[in-house]
Amino acid sequence: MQGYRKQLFSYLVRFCGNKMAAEDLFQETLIKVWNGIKSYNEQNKFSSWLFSIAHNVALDYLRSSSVRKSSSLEESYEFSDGNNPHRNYVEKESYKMIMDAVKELPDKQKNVFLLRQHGGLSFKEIATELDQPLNTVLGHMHYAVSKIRKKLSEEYG
Amino acid sequence: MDNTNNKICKEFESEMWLILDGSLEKQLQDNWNDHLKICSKCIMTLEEAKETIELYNNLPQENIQNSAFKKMINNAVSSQKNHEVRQYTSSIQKNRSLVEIFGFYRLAFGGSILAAALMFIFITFFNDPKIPEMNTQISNELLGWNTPDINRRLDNVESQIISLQTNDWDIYIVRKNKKEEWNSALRAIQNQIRKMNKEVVSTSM
Repeated sequence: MQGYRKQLFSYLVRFCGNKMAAEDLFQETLIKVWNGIKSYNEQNKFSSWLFSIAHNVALDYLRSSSVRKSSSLEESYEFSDGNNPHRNYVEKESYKMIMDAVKELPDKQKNVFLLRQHGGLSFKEIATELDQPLNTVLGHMHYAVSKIRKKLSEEYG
Repeated sequence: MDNTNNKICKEFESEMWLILDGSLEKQLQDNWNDHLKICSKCIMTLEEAKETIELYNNLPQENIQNSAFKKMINNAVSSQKNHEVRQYTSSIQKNRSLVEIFGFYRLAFGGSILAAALMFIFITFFNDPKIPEMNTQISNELLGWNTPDINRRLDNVESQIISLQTNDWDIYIVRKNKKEEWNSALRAIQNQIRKMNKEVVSTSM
């Protein structure tokens, strides 16, 4: 569980776009994992199981919260080099830009993109998890990445 | 030709994710490799996708503080204990008493109805009323049939029978089979009386 700590938390932060909410969702995911650990089938990948729980928890949150709160995510990550302000600035700007692009993605594309990038689920596993055809999932991934790239090229020229 | 290429390139946009995933069958992978040798557009699409993913993966990941994480773990563990307790209590609740299931008043009302029904059944079928030993009394009367006051005695017997039918019969609750037994006994006595009457008439003549 400790090994997935960063991945899981950043997944939740990027999924709901709110660090405070992500902490609550992280806690809820932990509780569900602890309570349901007996139902985990060891033949399946732990990360798939873990992220499918986190995904459902996050979906419930989005369904229940009528207004999607937005808050700055800048304080949520650690700077790679505290002594290099320029690098920090570039990193911060890229982070902000990409996060904004992810935030603006339609839910279906965001689901696929985040599950792939953070959960490490294969596209077939994502298709099973989201109950969608594999081609649809691949299409969502392509459009998600294209939109992020487009956003970046707009900003950087 | 362009249309065919466009269609293939469109297909590549989806399938390249399986190539990057490493989950595409070797044959298909080889086909795409052949296509990539001649299609600069698809090469660019693939490179851009790789680049964007790399950029994304290089972003710093959000982290949760150690103290907060430990607190969450503790909460999860205590929640699991509560979860187990809840499971235990719910299993106990499955064996809860009738009072808990129906409520006191419903149970009392239902119990009363059941008790009344049982009492009725007991009274009707098992509590035989004490029927006076009429057969003996009547037969004693009949034993002296040849005495001079036979007619008076017969009248007495008959009146006793009639009184039994009208009074005692109504007073005692007798089961149907008892009633039938009693009726057949009465019919036998009445036949006996008729027989005696005939004999009396024949002797007086």
